Amino acid sequence: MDDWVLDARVDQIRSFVSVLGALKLSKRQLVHVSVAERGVTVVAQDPSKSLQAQVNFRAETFASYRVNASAAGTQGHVSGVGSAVGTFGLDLGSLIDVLNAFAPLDGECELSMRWPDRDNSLVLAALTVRDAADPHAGRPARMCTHASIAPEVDGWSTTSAADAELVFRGERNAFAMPTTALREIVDDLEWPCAPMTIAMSSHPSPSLSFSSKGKDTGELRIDVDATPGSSALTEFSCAESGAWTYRYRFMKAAASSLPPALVGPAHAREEGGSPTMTRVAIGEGGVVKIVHLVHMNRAAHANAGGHHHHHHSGGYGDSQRYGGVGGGTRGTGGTAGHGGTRGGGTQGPGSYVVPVTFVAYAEVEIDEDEGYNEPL
Amino acid sequence: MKFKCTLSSMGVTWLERFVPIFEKMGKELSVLFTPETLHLVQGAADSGGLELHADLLVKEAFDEYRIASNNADKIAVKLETATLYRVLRGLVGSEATHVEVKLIKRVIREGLSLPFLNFASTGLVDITQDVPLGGPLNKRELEDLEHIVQANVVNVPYWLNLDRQATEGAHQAAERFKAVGPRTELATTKAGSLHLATAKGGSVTLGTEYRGLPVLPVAEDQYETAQGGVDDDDDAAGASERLAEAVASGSAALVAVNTKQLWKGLQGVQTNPSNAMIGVASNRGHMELVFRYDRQTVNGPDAVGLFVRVPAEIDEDFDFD
Repeated sequence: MDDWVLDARVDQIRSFVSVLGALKLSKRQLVHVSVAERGVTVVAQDPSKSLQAQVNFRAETFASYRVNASAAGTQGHVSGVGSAVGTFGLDLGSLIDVLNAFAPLDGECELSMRWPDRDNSLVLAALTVRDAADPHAGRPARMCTHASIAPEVDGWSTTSAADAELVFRGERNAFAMPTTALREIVDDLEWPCAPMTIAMSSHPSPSLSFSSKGKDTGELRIDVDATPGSSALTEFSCAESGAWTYRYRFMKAAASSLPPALVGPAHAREEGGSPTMTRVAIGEGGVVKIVHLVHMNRAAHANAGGHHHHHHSGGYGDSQRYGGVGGGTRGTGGTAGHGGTRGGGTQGPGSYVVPVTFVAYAEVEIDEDEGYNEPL
Repeated sequence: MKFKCTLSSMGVTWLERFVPIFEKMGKELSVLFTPETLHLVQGAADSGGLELHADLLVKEAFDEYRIASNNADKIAVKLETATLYRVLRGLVGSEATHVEVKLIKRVIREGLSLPFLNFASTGLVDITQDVPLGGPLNKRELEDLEHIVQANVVNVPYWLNLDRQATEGAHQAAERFKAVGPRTELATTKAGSLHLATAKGGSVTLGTEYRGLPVLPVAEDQYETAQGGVDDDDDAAGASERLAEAVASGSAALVAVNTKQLWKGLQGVQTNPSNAMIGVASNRGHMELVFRYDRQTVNGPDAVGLFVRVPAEIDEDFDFD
């Protein structure tokens, strides 16, 4: 089967589906899939073209991963995401509906994911074999679940996708905190029904605040302790003090779309595990980049019935993975943002962090024009 | 017309297992009492398209049983499913040891008396409950029920035997299929394969294939002969190719059903069966599911059964929803 450009196996099916679910920014969401030697990148864009979500499943995330560039032929295409050997568009809803059919097999078998078949479709399959309960038959019971999804071409052609990608550059400010902490802040600011502002400054002392000001409700403001040594943040850098405002819907999508089971509780650090971290960076023009470093392996364990900690039947191999990822997650705070598009790009093999990245444009000059600053 | 019986605690347990399935299908169910068997029946109008019935041998469910009618000692009534289920749960809850069931008529007011099924139980507490009835049903209505009850298992040339795990898997698959396509193609082969496949607008396909299922009767089993010609390719494309091959060679029995109805029918797995048999009628007009409780009955494997018939969708564009 050398004519597949992509031939990968997923062993954490539920987590895989959950992560993809975070890309759903609009009702009928198209996603753009790029296949490269280093991994698979899935990009979704809001119809407003001002919000983009991206998941990067690096090759190590898969149980096995093979890319055959020579099979790509004319489909080969260089995009802004990297050296992609193939790209295609998919209807995300269909992909998730179909993947959900494989979810009950999580932990029982691997999901094979290949592209393209003769119709240029993505082909999924999972096979389980077990001994028949009925001894009269004496033959194995085999079950094969299979699916194919044809690429979507309308609306987002493969060539324009790369051009249309939102660009984040010139990082000025950044901070990192547990994913659930950011989620709580954003959820708390829903009430005023208004755009959300992130304010950062370095003088007289480092400060970080989130606020939202509604016409009828007044201003709601959450200050985060940004002083050096603060337990709330693992990273704080502010080269340019200021305040940037974003559409609330964008912030909600960026902060709350990952299922809680996947990101775990905010304060797990004392217990020895590292919580899922999120790094927020503000760049040129106030463009914000929010990167969640999702730990896929742990989520798979949470789904298996326990909770986010080691004591499972997985055994030695699993604890090795934990060790690798724990170190990786601590490291990423510093490595993720330096201008690159890959949050966890420096992770070594054996770690299973999946960066989920949101990029959103700031609201321009809304203070006077839109009247958000009206006296109450 | 006389009906008086004593339900055994086994009988209560069986009924309490079956009635929830009927409750999920529809508001009403018919109960057909015959001298040998108790049938719970829902026709297509009651269940939203399916025909299903649970059969319980009298000796499996009753300690005492007296029935007499002008209609060959058969009596049929119609009940509200939810009311019956409530009564049964009450019997289980009060740990009833002795449950007398009677067909009675009560005078509601001067000149009006209505029929009830009366449950009188002794246990932790003694309870008497009346379940209001439609009926007793007339001879023609009763024959309609008998028609449903007797229709099963006659037109199906062979069956595939799904063990409990495979049955649950098929139910889960049908549940996921609902999100993808309203119509599911179901095919069986004498080589012991079951294919379920659905599609969305031609661009998405989703399917599950089971292989190596036991075929009944055993004389029809062609697993061994079929294996000779088939290579052991567990490929995804292999599944659809194998189906296409079987259809082309005429060895597959193929029928298209409504995905939601298939899922509803497979809900029978919630009655805790030992296994389920699935078969396609020779005229391809429907498929049937028979849930069996082999090691759970006292009076042999045929003492209790749940039978579900899912009709074939006739027209591709016909939408049941």
